[in-house]
Amino acid sequence: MYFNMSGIIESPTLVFIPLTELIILYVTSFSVAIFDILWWYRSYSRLGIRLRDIFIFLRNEWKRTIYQLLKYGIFHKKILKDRYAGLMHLLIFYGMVILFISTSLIALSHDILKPFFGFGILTGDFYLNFEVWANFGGIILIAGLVMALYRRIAKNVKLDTIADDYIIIGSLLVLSIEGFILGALKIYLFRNNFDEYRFVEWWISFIFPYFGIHTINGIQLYRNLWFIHIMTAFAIAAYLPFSKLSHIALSSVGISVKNIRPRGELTTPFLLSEALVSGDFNFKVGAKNVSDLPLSKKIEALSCTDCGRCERACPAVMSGSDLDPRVILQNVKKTVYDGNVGMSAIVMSENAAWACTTCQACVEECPVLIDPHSFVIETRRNLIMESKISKETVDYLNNLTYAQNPFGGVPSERDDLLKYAPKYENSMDVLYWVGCMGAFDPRGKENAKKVMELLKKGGINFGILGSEEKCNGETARRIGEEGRFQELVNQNIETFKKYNVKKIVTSCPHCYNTFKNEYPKFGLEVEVIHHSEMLANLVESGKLKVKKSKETVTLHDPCYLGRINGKFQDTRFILNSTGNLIEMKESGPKSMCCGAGGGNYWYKVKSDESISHLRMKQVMKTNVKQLAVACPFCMAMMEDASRTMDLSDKIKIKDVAEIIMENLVE
Amino acid sequence: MEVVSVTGEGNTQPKSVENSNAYKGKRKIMIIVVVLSISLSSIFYLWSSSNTAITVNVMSITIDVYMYGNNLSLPIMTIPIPYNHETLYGGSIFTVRFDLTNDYRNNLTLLSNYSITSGFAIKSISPTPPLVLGRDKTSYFQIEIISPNHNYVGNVDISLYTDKS
Repeated sequence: MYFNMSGIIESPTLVFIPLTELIILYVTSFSVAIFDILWWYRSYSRLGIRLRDIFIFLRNEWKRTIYQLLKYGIFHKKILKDRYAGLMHLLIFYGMVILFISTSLIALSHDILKPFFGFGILTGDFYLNFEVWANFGGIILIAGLVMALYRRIAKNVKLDTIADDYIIIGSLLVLSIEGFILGALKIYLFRNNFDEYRFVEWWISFIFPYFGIHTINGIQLYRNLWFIHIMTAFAIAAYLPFSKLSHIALSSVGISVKNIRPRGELTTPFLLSEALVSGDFNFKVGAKNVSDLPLSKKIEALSCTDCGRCERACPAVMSGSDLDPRVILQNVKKTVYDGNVGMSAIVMSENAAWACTTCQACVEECPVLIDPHSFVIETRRNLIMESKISKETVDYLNNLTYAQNPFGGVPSERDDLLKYAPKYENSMDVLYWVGCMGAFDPRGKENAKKVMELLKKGGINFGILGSEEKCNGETARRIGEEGRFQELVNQNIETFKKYNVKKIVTSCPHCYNTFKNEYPKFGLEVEVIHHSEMLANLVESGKLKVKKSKETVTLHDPCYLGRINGKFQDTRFILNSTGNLIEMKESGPKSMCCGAGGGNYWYKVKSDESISHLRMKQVMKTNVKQLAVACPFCMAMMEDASRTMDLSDKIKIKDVAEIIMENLVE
Repeated sequence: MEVVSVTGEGNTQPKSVENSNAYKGKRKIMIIVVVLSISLSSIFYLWSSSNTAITVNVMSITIDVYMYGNNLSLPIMTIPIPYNHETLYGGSIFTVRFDLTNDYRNNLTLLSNYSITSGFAIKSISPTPPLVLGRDKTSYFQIEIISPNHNYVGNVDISLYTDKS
């Protein structure tokens, strides 16, 4: 057991500092704390959010708010996905939290309880634990800051580094080191054996004699250092609103209030069916200016930390287009109070608005739950309203209107596939949704036939709609044409109701996502599965018998199946059952888009390199001869890439259904 | 909108919006406020340092009670008093309050000779010795101490002497 000379274990805090100097501490810390709180409140009140609104929100949503703050803030659910940056942030975060609590306890004990009530709380075992934790907090904070500094200096990852970043990291590092030196000097000036619990400061305390420091000059040194420490903390806190540290206050709000919805569901700005009944078409769609953005988007923009994870994951950025989700968010953040700043003029270019593939790699990466691609969707909706679209997009939308498919193919062409599958009837178990690619794209049609053949072999009682099938509107919605989307939704739902459809199998992950996540809002209540899941179930149950070949294959995860709907296992099960799957480095949730999503299959944007070429380069790094896909758009994009990169003889692109077919044991 | 150009014709860079002039102005004001605050605080600190060049920190006080006739290196009673929440100036007076209970087997007489850690001085003891403290009786004491005229950090030991009554 440790005791000091009087037999009492107690914190010797705030020693050597006379009252006149403590006044500096009280004045600066109180004024800067009030300033920071007012700034935080003003950040939201300028958006029209009043204190009353905050209380009402918290009263109604306190459970969700606390849950999300704990999950995504305190426990770093998404931050840790990037191992280095996640660990770095974890160390800095918990270091600061521990030191904040420590400082608060010191203030409580020494500035309130002792002077006014004659007792302190930093005594005995509690004090010893306090000192261990305080030293631990300091050391992990320094470790995290050194990692942050190294990351900026080494430039191993692309970061948008400005002088402010070094100033902030450097200031925090100086503040932490000052804290340790002060603690160590205090031990040196008055050593208790229980000070060993301050395991870092204890060892530092032995260096002072080597610098000629003794009790008399040590006390003056302590006072000087203490003053510098207080001023450093004051400067950091005062500059907080203007630095990246502002995310401490703003991102906490962002993650707490975020209304987390299915990733595959875009917002519904109006209900066409209601508008047709009421005749009121006076609704706001999309955002022309930053001020038109929904409040939730403005709160999201404020919480952007400028970490750049979205930027590093975005395929459009990699392709050299001028779309950059980080820049978009930062541009909105900088102009969020300015009113009439054009979304497609200043925040992003029109080219950038169309370059987004809606792959949601940015959404996957964002540690503070921002949905960068939704800012693009809001912009596109406005561009559509203003008819600022390319000829290809006009053609695309016209085809949807007149032929109910993007190819402009005659709807009766869909009946061709009735040679391979029966027309859907009420009594059937499954509706196989062929999709526009399956009906009109030759390669897609070839694959649709194979899927249908496998469904038959698996004993599935299914049918297709033939010419009664219409595009489900997924791409129209992502292009920003909400009205056209809802027209198609209403027509398709009518057909489903007519046939009493209960289960839909799709080959296209885009159709799958829209049926599963977006149609329910319009009244569709059916089970929706992707053909990979259906086929994997048939293989697993033995209804489809496959042999395991020696072929190696790599897998391109479709964004709308994998990252957006979390379906990673069925495709892998199929490939591991039929051969040997070699994963790409960029696979699973970190899989790269093929470049077709969000309408990009139908028009071209300015970029340095096509996304599909970039993806094909990643495929070729695996040295396999087969690439498996599970999406007709991915198939088309990757086949185009292999052809234009002259790799057709080196890599074969196959749908998982085709791979099953090749390895089927009759 | 012209989007018909093909890949390879990029060379477009995303454009970052500059911070607004209002924001820049506020940041400039904040930097000035911080610099001014630090400057004023430094001046105040220098003034304070020059006026309070000496600081005394008594971390704890130990009252040792000795008895003549016994071994004077071993106190018959020790009273530890935690005392570290106040930084004193040189020559300032502070008061220590404590209860002294005579748990010795005889009545004790507290004598008027005492000693204190070098540099400190005892201004007064109340009640004023000599006084008799009956067996198992408790008396409340107040000692006024004058701090030294040099920087000091450490414990203060006060030795009180008694005799059997």
